Amino acid sequence: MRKLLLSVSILSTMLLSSCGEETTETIDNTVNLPDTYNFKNVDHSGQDQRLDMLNEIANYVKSSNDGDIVDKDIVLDMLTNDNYSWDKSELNSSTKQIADKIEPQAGLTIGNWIEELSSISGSTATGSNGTAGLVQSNSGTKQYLFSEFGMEYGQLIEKGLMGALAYYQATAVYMGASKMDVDNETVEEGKGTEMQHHWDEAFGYWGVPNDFGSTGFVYDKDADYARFWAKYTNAVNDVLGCNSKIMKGFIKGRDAINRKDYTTRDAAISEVRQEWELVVAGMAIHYLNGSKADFADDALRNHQLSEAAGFIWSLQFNPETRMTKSEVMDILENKLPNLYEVSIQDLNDIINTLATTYGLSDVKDAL
Amino acid sequence: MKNFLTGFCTKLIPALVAGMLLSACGDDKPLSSKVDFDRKAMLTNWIDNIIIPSFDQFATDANSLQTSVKDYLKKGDQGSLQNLQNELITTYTAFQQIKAFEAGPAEDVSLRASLNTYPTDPGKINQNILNGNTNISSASNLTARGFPAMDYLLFSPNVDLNDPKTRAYLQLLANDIAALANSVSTNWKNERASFIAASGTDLGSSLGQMVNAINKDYEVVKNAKIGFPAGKKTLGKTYPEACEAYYGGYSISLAIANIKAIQNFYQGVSFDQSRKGLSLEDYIIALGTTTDNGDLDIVIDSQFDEAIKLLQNITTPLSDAVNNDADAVSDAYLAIQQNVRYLKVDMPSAMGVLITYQDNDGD
Repeated sequence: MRKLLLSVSILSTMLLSSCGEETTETIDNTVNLPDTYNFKNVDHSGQDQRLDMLNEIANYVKSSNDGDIVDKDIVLDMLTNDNYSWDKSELNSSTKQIADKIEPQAGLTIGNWIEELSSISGSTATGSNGTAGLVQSNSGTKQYLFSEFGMEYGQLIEKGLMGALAYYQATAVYMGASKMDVDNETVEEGKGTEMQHHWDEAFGYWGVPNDFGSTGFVYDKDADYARFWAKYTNAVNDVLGCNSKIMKGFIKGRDAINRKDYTTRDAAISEVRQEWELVVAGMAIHYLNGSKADFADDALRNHQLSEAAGFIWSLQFNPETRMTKSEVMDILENKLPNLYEVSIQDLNDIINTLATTYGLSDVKDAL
Repeated sequence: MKNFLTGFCTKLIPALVAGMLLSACGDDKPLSSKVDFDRKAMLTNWIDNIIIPSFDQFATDANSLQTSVKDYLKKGDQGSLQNLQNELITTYTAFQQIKAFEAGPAEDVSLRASLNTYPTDPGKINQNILNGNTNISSASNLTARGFPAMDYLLFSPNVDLNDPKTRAYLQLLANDIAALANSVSTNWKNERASFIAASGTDLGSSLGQMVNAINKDYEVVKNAKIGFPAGKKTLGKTYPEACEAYYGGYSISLAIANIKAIQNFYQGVSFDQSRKGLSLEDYIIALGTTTDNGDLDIVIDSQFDEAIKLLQNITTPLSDAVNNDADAVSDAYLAIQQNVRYLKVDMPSAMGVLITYQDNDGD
């Protein structure tokens, strides 16, 4: 089969070269792509606002680590943008909300986490295996609120929303048929065509500046964009080179839509989905490695395992995921049911499963 | 304020110098790659003459420890108990010579946490003994496992070694130590080629891994072995019971063995002490790195000597000295601490190696 394909392509090359000027039509336009996400009529203000809201939600739920009460009704008001006064005042006039964009089934799970967090927060009791409460790191510099099983709900909620909101909306919803099989003719000023706009909204959920990953780009950890997927993409960039790979996918797709080249657009969809998925898996491995390095420190180990669990859980939301929901749940339920009771063997098993599935075996130690 | 500025300038100087050199040379290769230094030869020296032999010795000693437990459980006399106690100290000391090399196969199984989490938890140990627990691999059992747990069983007056369940637990601990020691020792041999092949200075390189590993361990010496028991992390409140080898009272000799192993590694001295090969010291000399106190290679080396000398000045068990010889403990602590800056900041930045072991993502 491979031979056959090869000979066809040789044949077509011969044909092409023999028919002179017609070859221009088959030249791959992607070589002329811009370095940055610099296109006409790009607007992802709705996504920017939702990420701003997510930022305040994440800060609020993680305030439980300071011993503060986290009220589930307040989190709910934040998620639905109902009767909540945001710190970032621009958000108070926003009509957007997060709740209706969360993957529906995942929303139920996250709702449970919020209830659990709400019920254990505010206590100043010391946590330990079997008892929910605050746990300090051995050096005394860090403190986290864990469930009786050592889970940090604040992390699960933050990472879970990154997965079930931003990652899901970008890779499954906006890159899916219902948002891509739409009009690409009528240009609305400032927003482009319907299809262009949907693509830009997917890009918006990634949350990066337009020149992210381009030559000369320097990540600024104090910038507003230094959060969520921008932050974590950059965190594994040294190993995966993902900053520019994902950006190139988004640029390629937007350019293809501009040219109405839907074959190339679909290829770009796959590229973004697969490269972004490597970030999710890579971050999970990163935190699993970290939890091994801090294995004897309940606070640092469980904190990092909670982050890893959130990323692993998020893997299911990509329609091209290489790890199915049942595989994801198998890891979470059978390997991480109690973070105080994990063994190095458990953690190595998860790392090896992820590394093998995602072709990261050679770099798993560097993540 | 002065300290702050000094620290800042030291950090800045390598960057400035590198920047000047770079602009003069007109390309963007890091400074370290411009020096003629055979990193592969250094890695070969490390793995063949230091890492593999010291893990071999550790495995041999761990096997003897396992045998000594069997022997004691059979004979039950004072002589075999004494022999077992000595074997524990020997193996615990051999462990000090490999614990800084927590990279590759050792890192894979989190060897240091698995075998040396202290203070150990007598309550947890007694519970495991009562329950006849034979699986001690979970995180919650780290305080009932490894050398500190054996130290408790063999040296605490509160332990009844005639109790059959306690005897079974003693054997379980020794078996666990031996199994880990042997598997890690074997795996280092299997990874010899890939260790030497990773000869860059990047995150996954063997140089990067080892520089991170010895720094992390050196800070464990500073904080867990000395600083925490001595109250350096707790506004002066001491924690004698948090000493390594608290029940046997030989913490200082373990600390000295630990630092000596890091110093030997730094100098490239073979495990059997017979010869010296290329190591970090030579690399620094090749790079020509200096500090405000002189050549960096000499500063680091003499600071190791100073730390060991001051540790030797502590003549009583550390658990006693933290309260009754506090000045001597403080002096040793400060001497250990002073090398952190040279080992963790100056040396890696000269080599273009990133220190990555601190969780730096800010949440």
